[in-house]
Amino acid sequence: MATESPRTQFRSSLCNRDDDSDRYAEFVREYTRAYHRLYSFILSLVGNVHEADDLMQETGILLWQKFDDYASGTSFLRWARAVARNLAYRYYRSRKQACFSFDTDVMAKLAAAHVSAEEWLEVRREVLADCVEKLSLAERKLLDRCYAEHGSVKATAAEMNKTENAISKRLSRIRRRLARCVERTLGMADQS
Amino acid sequence: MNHHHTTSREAVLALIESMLCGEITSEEHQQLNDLLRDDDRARLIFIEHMDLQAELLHLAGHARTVPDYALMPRPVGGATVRAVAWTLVAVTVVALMIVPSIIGYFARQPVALPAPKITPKPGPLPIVATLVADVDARWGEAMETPTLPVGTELRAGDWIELTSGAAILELRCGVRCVMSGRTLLSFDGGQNCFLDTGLATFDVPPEAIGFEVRTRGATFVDRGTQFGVSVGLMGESEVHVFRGLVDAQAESDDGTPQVVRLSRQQAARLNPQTRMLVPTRFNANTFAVPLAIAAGVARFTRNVRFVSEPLTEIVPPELTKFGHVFLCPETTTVLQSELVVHERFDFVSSGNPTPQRRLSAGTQLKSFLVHFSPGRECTVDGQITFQTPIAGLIVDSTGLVTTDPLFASRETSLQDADRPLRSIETPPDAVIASRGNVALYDRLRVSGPERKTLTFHLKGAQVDQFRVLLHAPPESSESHNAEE
Repeated sequence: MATESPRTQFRSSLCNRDDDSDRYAEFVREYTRAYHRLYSFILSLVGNVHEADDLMQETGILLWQKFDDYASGTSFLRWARAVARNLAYRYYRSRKQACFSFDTDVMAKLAAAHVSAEEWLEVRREVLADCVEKLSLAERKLLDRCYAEHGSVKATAAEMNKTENAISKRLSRIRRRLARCVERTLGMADQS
Repeated sequence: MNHHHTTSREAVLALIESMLCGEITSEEHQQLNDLLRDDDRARLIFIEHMDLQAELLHLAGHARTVPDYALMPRPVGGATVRAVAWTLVAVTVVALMIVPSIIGYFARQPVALPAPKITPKPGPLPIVATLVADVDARWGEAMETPTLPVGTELRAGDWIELTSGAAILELRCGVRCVMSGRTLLSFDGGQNCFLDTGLATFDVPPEAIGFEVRTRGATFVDRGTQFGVSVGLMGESEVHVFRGLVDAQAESDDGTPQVVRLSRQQAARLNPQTRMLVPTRFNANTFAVPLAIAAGVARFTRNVRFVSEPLTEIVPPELTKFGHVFLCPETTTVLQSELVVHERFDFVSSGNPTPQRRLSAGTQLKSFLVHFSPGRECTVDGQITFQTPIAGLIVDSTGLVTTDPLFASRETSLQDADRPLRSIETPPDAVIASRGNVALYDRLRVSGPERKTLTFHLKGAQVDQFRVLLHAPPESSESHNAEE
């Protein structure tokens, strides 16, 4: 029997909650606007895409549950980050034995650093898009396959008849090349 | 930026990547944890790299935002619904927290559980092509391997990247593809491929009509043909049709579809700015190397021009060029009777300068006519290497006239075949006897461990022609073409 994904459950919860379309519309608007930066924030705390996905889903549900606490006109992202950070702490305290995680003081420092680096990260994102364009099509296609909604290293490895390790290594090389490209581009931009 | 900083950054990145690849050890994780606690710069590098990871997910459509309201069922509203909604939200959250524990509990119980439903694992994609030959091929990064043995099978979705040389691929659907030079190609399925950059020719048999070559912004659909596609570094693509028909398709920025049907010796170019297809001059020379390779040639010197089209006349007046020779593929034929050929034509060599051999009836031969017509006094030295051994040379007038009907293409008029001095001139007897200046005359050598290389030294102002006969495998694609 097919099980509903957390995302579907979250979507359902949004549908059910929304008897006030204005309030709902406001939540969707704010959440959509903040989604990307909030995800980056959560990923920085946990360092793992799968756990970041889980935490993002839980954060979304919690944000909707607590949306009455949010004061319109204030920073949704700041409020959402606080909710996400607390959820991450709880999450990791409860399952620290089971997986690698950073100490909570490290997570607190990462959270603070992410907030202060937000504008810098925005600049880097714009440069990164250009760097991705400079990759060969094979590399871009590999990124698309592995990073897409239902993509994974495992599935891509099976499709391409390669080992997961080989695909992971290629992705790693691509990420490091992109990081160098961003650095180089921003370095050049500083000089000009 | 000093060296220490660079090393430090790379070291941090190495730890982060080790974590992302799932290979990090406990010690390394502790090291990373400590770095992130104590080193502001390491913390920023970590955040930057995680943001890069998040952005890549975002660009690939992974991190989707909340679905559009209009796409969801419209809620009824009201206090009851609100209460039900809150209950559902609560149940969802509780379920998220409890279900893993329940699953974990049962997973630890040594109770025989019902057989789990087996979800078939995604198997490897189907094999769509085989590398059948390569010529001095150097493979690019996409291949993950410095060498790619002939016989390697490629699956749908695989990329093949050449940095130099050429490769011949045979698709399961019957299409024969020759890629040449710096080229990146992917077979998306059995009936299509994607050419990212570079040069490739496609020979499509009737059973594979409809084969598609896609580029960034254009699709070229075969209608039974031989054609070439080139894609430049900026994504500009061109299609040139050698035989048959091709439908070139594109879609402009405003979504207007455009289809241009191209026939033999027509070409179109996709303007990457307007995304419109425009006619361009047909130029088979762009594809000379892959076409030559498709015809059985491996490599040749710069002063050799490959002529892909069948000659209209056996002594073509238009093929006159100073300092060059023309290599004209002819047909593949099975000998009906014995044929005497020269092994070389070289009066500089000692012993017999023009030894001959007999090729027995039943031998299958592929012929190339080499045509030299400089227009004025000229000496040309060069080399042609074929993919199969050279069986022999036809260098004298009688031999040429006798073998014209055997090997010349059907389209070639033989009206001027018996013109004087068409063949290579033999030095006068007196010159041969003195052996003083024989080097001034034409000479042809066949060399290499498998006799695949022809070295020529041609001199004069008039037309010189000779025929190179290759041993042709019984199932060569050339014979298929010749029959068309």
